[in-house]
Order: sequence, then structure tokens, then C-alpha cells
Amino acid sequence: MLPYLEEIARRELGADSNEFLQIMAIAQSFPGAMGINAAAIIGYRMGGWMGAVAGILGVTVPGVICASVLFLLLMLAARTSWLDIATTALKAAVVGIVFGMAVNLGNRSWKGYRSLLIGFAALFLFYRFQLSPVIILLGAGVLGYIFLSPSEAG
Amino acid sequence: MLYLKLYLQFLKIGLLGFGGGYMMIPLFFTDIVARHKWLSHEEMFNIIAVAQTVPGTFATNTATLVGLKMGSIGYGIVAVLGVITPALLIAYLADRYVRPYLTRPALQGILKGVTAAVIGIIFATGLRMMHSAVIDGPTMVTGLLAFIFFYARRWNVAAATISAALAGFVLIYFVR
Repeated sequence: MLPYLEEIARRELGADSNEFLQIMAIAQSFPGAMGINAAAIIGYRMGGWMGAVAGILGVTVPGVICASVLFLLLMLAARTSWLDIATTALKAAVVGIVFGMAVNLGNRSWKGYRSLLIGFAALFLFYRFQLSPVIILLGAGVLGYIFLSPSEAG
Repeated sequence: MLYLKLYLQFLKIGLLGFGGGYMMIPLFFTDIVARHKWLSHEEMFNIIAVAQTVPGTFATNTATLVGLKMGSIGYGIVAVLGVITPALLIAYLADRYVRPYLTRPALQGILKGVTAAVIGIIFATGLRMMHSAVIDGPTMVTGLLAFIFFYARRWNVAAATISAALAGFVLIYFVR
């Protein structure tokens, strides 16, 4: 998805690589799927609110339709042992992907023992005590503000 | 008002979905399953698996499927609207007003802290999902394959998921 977004930003907004990286930085720093955020930002800059809506629809509608069709097909399919095996295999694969995501993000963002400590604290609190993610993220934000802010002097 | 509840719930999930949207997986389990009991753990897990294997963005795919599973296309549309609302706010507010502050130490520190915690929560979610999905040799091999395809081989999510699941299908069929 990213190369396409970059091409659109380049062609329609005259954005250079640096400008595009800034858009991606915003898209990534804030909650939500990076692709949707970036499409919304680029769309908004091109054509205001309608542009943002168009951008979001553009990146989401194909998947939404595919997912709906697949869902309807699965509803029609008889519950066979084949389907059970397929679901079992698919779920096991998803676990691998989730760990892959976590390790990817970890490589990028767990730098230094402080962020590692925050990460492990979050893991422990969520896994062991099922503490609400909202509370964990709020706490992590405060800890990040105190311990992870780069000093003004650099 | 189920429509309003559903919209607000998915808005919340959208607003908390840091880390490229994968923070949404734990929220689907804590909120859709545990709090509202709209779906069972099993149903939610199946939906997450399906949402990853079709093209498009994971968040909106999942929202669609949750709505459909709850019984109507209307629910699906409302859930999708909820989960994409933050993107509209980001396009307007964040790009215009927060952007100059993005390099400020305070905001960087906060974002670093939140991201560090998100990773921990995603790991914890992986562990929880592992308990219910990785139950024997073949499923363990399947999970490992998906991890290797996605992480070491750098395949995209859909390709890695489908390839590993196909291999897993064959393994489970012949081994069990």
C-alpha cells in the first residue's frame, strides 16, 4: 500500500520524499491503521473533508467487500471437518503473525532499558492482571513523558 | 440503542489503536467479547483470522465482520464508521495543529512510552491467543511458519497467513 500512497502524494501534492515521510510520521504516531491515516491526510490536503472521506473509502472499501463476500460464503458452507481444520490452521497462523508484529515493533521502538521496562510492565499487567489497556496506555504515556523525553539540549 | 453503542465502542477501539492498528486485537477481546459479550472468544478469534487473510486494512475488515456476525450489514457499516472516525480527526487536527509539536521532546516522550507499552500488550495478546490456538505439534509448526514467513522472510500479512495456514491444513489433516 505504501508505494501507491507515495506515488499519489508525489503526483497530486507535489510532495518530495521528505514531505511524504512527515505524513507517514503523523499517520504512524497516532492511533489507527497507518494506511487509513495516511490516505485521510493525503486526501484532506488534496480536497478537504470530501477528499479525506474519499481517501479513507478508497483504502477500506475493497477489503470490506472481500471480507463480506468471504463471510457470506462461509455462512453458506456446511460445517464440515474440512472447514474446522482450515479454521484451526488459520488461527495458529494468526498467532505467529501477532508475535511477528510485536517483534517488528519491538525492534523499532524498544530502545534502551527504560522503554523495555515499560513494555514488560505492560505485558505483565495485561497478561497477569488483565488491567484495562486504557489505564496501561495512560500510565505508559506519563512514564514516557517523565523518562523518555529527549533532553532539550539534545 | 445498539447502533450508538456499537459506534462508540468502535470509535474507542479506533482511538486506542496505536502501533499501526494492531493494538486493536487486545481491545477486540477485552471489549467486544469480555465487556459487551456481543461475540464469543471463539467467534472473535475466527473473525480476526479471516480479516487478516483478505486484502485491505485489518481494522475495517474486522469491524465489518463483527457487525455482520452480530446480525446485520447496518451493524457492519456503523462499526466501520466508528473505527475510521479517528482517521478523519487526524487528517484535520493532527496534520494541521499537532504536526509542529511532533518533534517536541514532551510529545515524543509520551508517544515513545505509549508505543513501548503497546508492544508489551500485543505480546501478551499473542500469548493469550497461543493458549487457545496452539494445541499440538501441527498447530505449533503452523504458527512458527507464519512467524518465519512474516518476520524473517518479510512477506506481507495475507501471504504469510495463507501460506502457513495451507501448510498447517495439510499437516493437521495427515497427522491427526
